[in-house]
Amino acid sequence: MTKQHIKKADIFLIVLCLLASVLSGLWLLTGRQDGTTLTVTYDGTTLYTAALAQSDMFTHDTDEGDKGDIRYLLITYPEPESLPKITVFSDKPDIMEDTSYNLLVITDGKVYMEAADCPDQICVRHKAIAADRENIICLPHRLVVELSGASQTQDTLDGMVK
Amino acid sequence: MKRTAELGFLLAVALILSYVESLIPFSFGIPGIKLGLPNAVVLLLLYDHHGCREAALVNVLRIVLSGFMFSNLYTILYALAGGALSLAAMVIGKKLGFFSPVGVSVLGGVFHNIGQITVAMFVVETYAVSSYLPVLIASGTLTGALLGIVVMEMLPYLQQYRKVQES
Repeated sequence: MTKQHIKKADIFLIVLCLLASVLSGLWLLTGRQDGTTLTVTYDGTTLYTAALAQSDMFTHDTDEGDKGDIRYLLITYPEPESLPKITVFSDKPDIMEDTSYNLLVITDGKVYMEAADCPDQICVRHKAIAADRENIICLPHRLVVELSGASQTQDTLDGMVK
Repeated sequence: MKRTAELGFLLAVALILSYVESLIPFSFGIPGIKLGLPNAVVLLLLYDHHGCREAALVNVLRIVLSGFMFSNLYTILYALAGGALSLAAMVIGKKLGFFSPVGVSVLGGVFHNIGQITVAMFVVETYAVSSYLPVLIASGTLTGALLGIVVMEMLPYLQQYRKVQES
């Protein structure tokens, strides 16, 4: 066999793939608004929904500490087969060594993963999310943290009225 | 017997490449982005006188072994899906005949990432993961093209070596 060279079809394929990636990226980015609702899902089950704005968020909160603009959401996985537990804190909580966890921070309309004990740490290294349809996913813990925009907030409000 | 030894040797090379890859922090906080170095071995097996069965065998063994050594069971699941789809795409791409190893490698890289995202979508049961697709397609294309060029440059030397050995 003699040496092979790059063919026209290769260049075509590469350009096509890059174009597809850029176009789908633009499509995802267009009409991007600030996220208004935070949803935490585990294995497809919604665990927690709250508006990002503080006043709304604290209708869910039992903690009566002073209201800074930072909130911590601790998700722990006590038993492998049951749903994880979510607790909201106004100060950085102590993490128990023996349970698996994700610690989410909500501040100034941004959400990021402060710490987690998952093996790949991809969720921790993920940049803070703030826009509609952005998400942080912790695959090892099957946890999805998602922001949604104004229209979806409307939906949940409608749902609550019913 | 000689073929078994050779496949074992290539498996070892693929495992070393997996290890090297696990040392390079290249993920940018996006799951699934990687260099895909071990794919070079799979591509080499496809183009060298072996067929796709040998490539599949080496790849599956590589994924399972490196999964147990360097990561966890979930990673094995993603990697198997990515590996299977990627190999299928490369075999079809090669059969079509109008791609050089570079094009075939690009197909492999892109479909590897599509496979992984699909499994991730089933595992976390959300479409949210698909927002990573644009980045994953681009990274699959670039890393695939680079590995394809490396393999394409290697092939003539390998063939020459084989000829010398046989004579």
